Amino acid sequence: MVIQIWRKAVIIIRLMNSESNKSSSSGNSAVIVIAIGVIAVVLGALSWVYLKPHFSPAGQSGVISESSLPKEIASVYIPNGRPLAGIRLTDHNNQPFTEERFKGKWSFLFFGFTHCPDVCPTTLLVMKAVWARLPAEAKQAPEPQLLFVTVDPDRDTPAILKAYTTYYHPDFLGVTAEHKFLDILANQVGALYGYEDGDTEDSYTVNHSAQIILIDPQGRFRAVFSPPLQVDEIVKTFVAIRKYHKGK
Amino acid sequence: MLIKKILMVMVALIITLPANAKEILQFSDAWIPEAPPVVKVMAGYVKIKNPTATAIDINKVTSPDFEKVEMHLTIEKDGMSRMQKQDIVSVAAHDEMIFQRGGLHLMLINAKHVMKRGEKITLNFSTNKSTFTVMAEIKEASIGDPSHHQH
Repeated sequence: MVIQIWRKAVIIIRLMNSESNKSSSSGNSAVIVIAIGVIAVVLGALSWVYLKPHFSPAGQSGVISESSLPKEIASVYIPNGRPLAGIRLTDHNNQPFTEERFKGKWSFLFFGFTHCPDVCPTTLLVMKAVWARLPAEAKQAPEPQLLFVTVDPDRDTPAILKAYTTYYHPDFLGVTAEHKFLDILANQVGALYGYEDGDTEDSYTVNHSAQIILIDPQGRFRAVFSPPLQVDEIVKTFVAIRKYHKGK
Repeated sequence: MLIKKILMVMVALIITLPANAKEILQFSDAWIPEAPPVVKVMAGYVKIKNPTATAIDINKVTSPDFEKVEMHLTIEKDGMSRMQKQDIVSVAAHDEMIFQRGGLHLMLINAKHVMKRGEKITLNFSTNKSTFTVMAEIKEASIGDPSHHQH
């Protein structure tokens, strides 16, 4: 529970950061201050929720607490996810990918890079298995799409991305962006990445968020699936999220 | 005099030989997931067992089919996934080290030719004293443990 709250706090901080779009190296102390503030607010809200178990927030517009969500989605769902904006990516067919292309689809995002031999193939294989196990109704419109977002745009060209992502599933889409626009996307969904030198100039590796991000068909940041990623868990939760959205 | 020296060297050899001979490592389930042909870096997985009473340090891995091989550990911290290069992997006495997905793995860098499924790749694991040659098969990438499919 505490870990979930912390993750959400981190996400909220990244959302706040995205406003100013500053580089990750600056403003650390500000981030800490905000983090403490966020934790205080979350703890306050939680104690309020737990200390008043008989009070129902239903009917209070705009107030969605975690406890009012269906149990199966509560740990991943972001109740007040904001619409993504300023998205300027290029897909693996060299076509522009803006926030418009989130509309009318459920988009799973994974941040990785093709020089990543262990985690990235494993995650794409997990998502391939998810695709295979999704029930037919979960594949209907608004249909799901998977974006493999490279955190290594200098080495991962659209052509390389296309060969890489479609190898795992013909429907998977690789996307890249200039560093500036990569940050704009990453900041809005709480994704982190950073470069680490290798022995030679081009053998650097990239540390990156291992979560799967879910964007809803209105283009809003909606859920985060954190490792360890379990195929059945993702399938079940995604179906439940779709159901919850339909009922709203 | 010369004979005495030769004898001394022989005695020294006999004394050190058993120590050398004791370094035994047992390798099993060595495999390399097939990867898109565009990738520069592949992973390798293997199970290494040390049946001896002494820890054995692997400090180098090479392959004639790759420019370079490194040992890496995938670690996940604060939701971030990172790879940590391991200069030495120590297999404790009467214990085993498993190179597997999401953990310790071989990083096979710059394949010298396109790797096809079913192909066997030579991997040389070295310690300060010995080198162990292991054949790793290129297999279909899957999230299950491929050794389960074989039996």
